[in-house]
Amino acid sequence: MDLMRWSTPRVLVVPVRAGRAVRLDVERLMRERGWESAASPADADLLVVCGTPDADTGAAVDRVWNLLGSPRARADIPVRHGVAERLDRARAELGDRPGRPSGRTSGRRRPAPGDRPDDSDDDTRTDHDGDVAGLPMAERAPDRDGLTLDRLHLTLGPVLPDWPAGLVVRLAVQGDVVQTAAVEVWGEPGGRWDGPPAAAALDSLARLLSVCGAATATRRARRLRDEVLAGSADPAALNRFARRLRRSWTLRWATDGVGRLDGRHGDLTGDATQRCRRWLDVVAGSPPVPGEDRTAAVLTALPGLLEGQELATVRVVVASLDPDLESSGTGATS
Amino acid sequence: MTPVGQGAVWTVLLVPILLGGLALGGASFARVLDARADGRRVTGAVLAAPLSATGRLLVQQRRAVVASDRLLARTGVVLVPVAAVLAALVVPWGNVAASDLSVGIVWFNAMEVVTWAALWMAGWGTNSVWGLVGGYRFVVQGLSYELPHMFALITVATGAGSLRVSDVVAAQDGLWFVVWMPVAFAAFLISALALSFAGPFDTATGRDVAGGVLAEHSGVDRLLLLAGRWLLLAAAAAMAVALFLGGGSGPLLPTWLWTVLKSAAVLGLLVWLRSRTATLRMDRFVEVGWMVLIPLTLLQALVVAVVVLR
Repeated sequence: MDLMRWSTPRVLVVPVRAGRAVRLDVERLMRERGWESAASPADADLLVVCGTPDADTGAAVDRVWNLLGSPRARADIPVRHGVAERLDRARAELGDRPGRPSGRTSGRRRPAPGDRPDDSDDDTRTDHDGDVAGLPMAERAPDRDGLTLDRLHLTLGPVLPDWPAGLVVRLAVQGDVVQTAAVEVWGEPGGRWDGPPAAAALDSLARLLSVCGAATATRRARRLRDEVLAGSADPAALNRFARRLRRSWTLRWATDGVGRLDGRHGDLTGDATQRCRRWLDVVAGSPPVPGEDRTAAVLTALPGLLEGQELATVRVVVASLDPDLESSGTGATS
Repeated sequence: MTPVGQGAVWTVLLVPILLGGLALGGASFARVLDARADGRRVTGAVLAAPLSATGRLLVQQRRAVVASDRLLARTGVVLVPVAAVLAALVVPWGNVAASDLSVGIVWFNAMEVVTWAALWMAGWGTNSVWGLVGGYRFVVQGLSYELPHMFALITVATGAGSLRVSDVVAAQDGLWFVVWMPVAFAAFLISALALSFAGPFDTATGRDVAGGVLAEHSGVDRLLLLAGRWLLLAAAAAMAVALFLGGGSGPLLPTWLWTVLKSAAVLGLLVWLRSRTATLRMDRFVEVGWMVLIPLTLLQALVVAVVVLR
């Protein structure tokens, strides 16, 4: 499989609470090597789990792993030690795979109850009334205009690119409009993180920028974050970055008026644009606003902000609030 | 310069090759911009990344979700690159057009609208909420950019007094259309990004919906969609040269080389724009499209019509 050895892998990064240090290392190495971050399991050939997942998250990761097409490889990186070697090994495994399993039938699996639908050929089983291929049809419910429409249940997280580690949001959607939203937190948090505030702000910004489709700015944010962590960041470069993003009208369009919270929310007050600007201020060198229970406030406010929004807006709302579950004291609520 | 003429039948075979080369160049340039943002050195591997990514997708397993409409999805997937190549048939390279139709501009427009259906089918057919949302987003996007795009094309046709692309190129002998139709040119560039679901117009394949139309496609299916996107962008860039930048006209160099250079320059500009912007929210862009772009392009068409009538 020379072709695989020659090309750069596309990586589905799975962040786990308490796995921040590993994730930062993985993302830095990916950037340095030019490995791209995948947007979905179909897009990925390498699955990298950053940290030690709890049982629920581990099961979700396994289900996603089954969705990756061959050739594929997986790296479970529990601790920060030897990240580069583990990535190398997974990369080599990807290249060493014997020829492609013949055609698509090899990936054939039947859906387990409650499983996500995945590969399966000519599966037209209809044992149950109203079922298609053994999967239940969408139920119906009245929508906001009083019409009866199909309702679909959708779970965002814990395995989703540019998504806070450990966050799981269960949605009922009609079309792409969210009817109800319930927030859960999976896994146990790690210890407090005493990295520079600018690095934390850039880390959050990178997720927001990526969700907003600002691909180049995302890359730059991650690069600056790594430089801040390595202590080699140039203050002028940070200022330039912040200034440029403040001027970006396409970014402002993407965030204006999204996820607005009133004045009682301290650091979280305002819309996604204002929260983004606060991060940019921190990047440019001003001290961060000390937030007492920022994460808890986000988790409380989230369902109310998500209901009635479009799916795409959901991602921007979550990214602009970016609850820091990696080191927050909030225990598992699942 | 010698007027553009209908090429021999075999020149049709050259179209996918030339278009593919241009598209590959654009994709490589995008990788270079990525590498620079990442702080990596620009090496041969970066330039060849689109090729190696193609190889990777060729060996990757194809997949399909349970109860997906495979025929519909794959028809859509195949249609994207096919529509791009068909659209490029009417674009003259130097002074030869593979197919100099009397309604060339309408043909280009029609082929590009085929991608609406194609992308929607590719999204709907996967039986995935992300694909569904992505497919519908592209239809919304189409409604937002298509009218300004069509008015830009009509302006050009009015200026040349013909829907034949070779006549359009001939009409620019002396004065390029970009000089007196700047609004139409800008609208065309915006719609070039929009019709190839690229850059600020990548709502159909955005990361916020896990790749949207692309979310469940892997292997060859994914390759066709991604390649189709680059081919569409390249075709639109080449068409912009014929419609606004005087086609192959230019001093010293042969006409075919001018076509290539100008197309590469337009494509480079589009790729750069693509890398500098965040995705445009369609609920906002549709307002700009209908309240600003349509009146402006209509005004441009009026000005051109008055000039032509005088």
